[in-house]
Amino acid sequence: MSRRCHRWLVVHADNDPSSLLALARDRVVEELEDAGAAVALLDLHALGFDPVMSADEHARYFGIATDHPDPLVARSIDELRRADGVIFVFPTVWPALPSLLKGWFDRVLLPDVAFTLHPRTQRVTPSLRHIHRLVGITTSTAPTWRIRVDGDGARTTIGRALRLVCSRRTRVTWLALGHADRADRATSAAFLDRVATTVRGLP
Amino acid sequence: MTPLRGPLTRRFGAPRPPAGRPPRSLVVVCHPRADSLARGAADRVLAGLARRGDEIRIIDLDDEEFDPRVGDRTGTHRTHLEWADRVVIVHPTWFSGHPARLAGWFEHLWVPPAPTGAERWPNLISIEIVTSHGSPRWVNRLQAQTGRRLLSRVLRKQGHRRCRARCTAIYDLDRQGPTGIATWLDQVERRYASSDW
Repeated sequence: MSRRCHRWLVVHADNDPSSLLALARDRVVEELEDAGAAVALLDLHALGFDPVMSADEHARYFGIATDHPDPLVARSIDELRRADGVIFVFPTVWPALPSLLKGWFDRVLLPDVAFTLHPRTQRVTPSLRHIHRLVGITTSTAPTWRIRVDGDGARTTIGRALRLVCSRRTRVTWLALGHADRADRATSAAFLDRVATTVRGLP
Repeated sequence: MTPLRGPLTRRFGAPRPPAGRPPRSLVVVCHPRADSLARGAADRVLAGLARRGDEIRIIDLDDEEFDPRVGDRTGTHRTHLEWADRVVIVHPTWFSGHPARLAGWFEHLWVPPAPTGAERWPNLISIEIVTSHGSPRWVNRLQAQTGRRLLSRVLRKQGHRRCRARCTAIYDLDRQGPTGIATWLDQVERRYASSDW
């Protein structure tokens, strides 16, 4: 029996606001709120998130997390520190995280947020031990087996790299729809139902 | 001193650059800061290639302020990639993958569906990465080596049918110290100055 998660962060990273993923995101938020969980939504495209880390940000990499100049990053850090679980909603354009979401990883998962470095040995200690559940919801034009064969960088970055700094017992759930460009009404509806069923069981 | 590792692909049967002209190398750099290790490594790569007498072109994504959301100036970049025999991508590894700016560059130039059956850059016979990891190698293995996998499984397919993939990496950067880093930079320069393809 996994631990219940009551505070959720939903990160939506899609350049196309009219896609199936926008519907999936709405279903996710709806189902979580119905189940009585607290939800924070970050729609990176709508908020105008800049994925590029600036030279100044990189120069202050250690220590910038305490007073980040970008309010959106500061807000992400706050939400991440409060969350029990994180849900990522994004398209798989190539078998890795899309640049918009990778930028969020680069700029938000900073020292003292995602991990701390031991001052003497420089060893990494995880700082997101309060996160117990990670969920990826994604669509791709390629079939899902193709993405898996090509290494599925999105899944490894979330399910391995991010999971390593979360709780030791973190469960990773992955919902992927291949051939999304060819999906008809029935397939899309089935995918949305699959999303809803899974999310309903989360809190 | 640990020796650098060989190519991720088989060495035998790898194509060689056409005879009669110097090999053409395209160096792509991606790091926001001018005083970074990635820029230092890129300088050593360029020094090595110049010593060998390669023709060199450079794309500096951060100097050009390439915006991953827009994908500007991809026309020039496309001509460079069509021209090159080899591309060397120098970047830091952040959270087990490429920086967002470089990921955006791949999204705009390398990944959109190509005309069926054709290789995207048929002249490209070697794709190489020079990168630095903050974490030790075993941590990167646990993280499933996302960057290396993308190189050998996705990017390599966009080049020549028997394109070579090679990765030159330094691990555990925070604990290397100045000597470790200097040794690695020397290794990088020696590798790129050697006549080996």
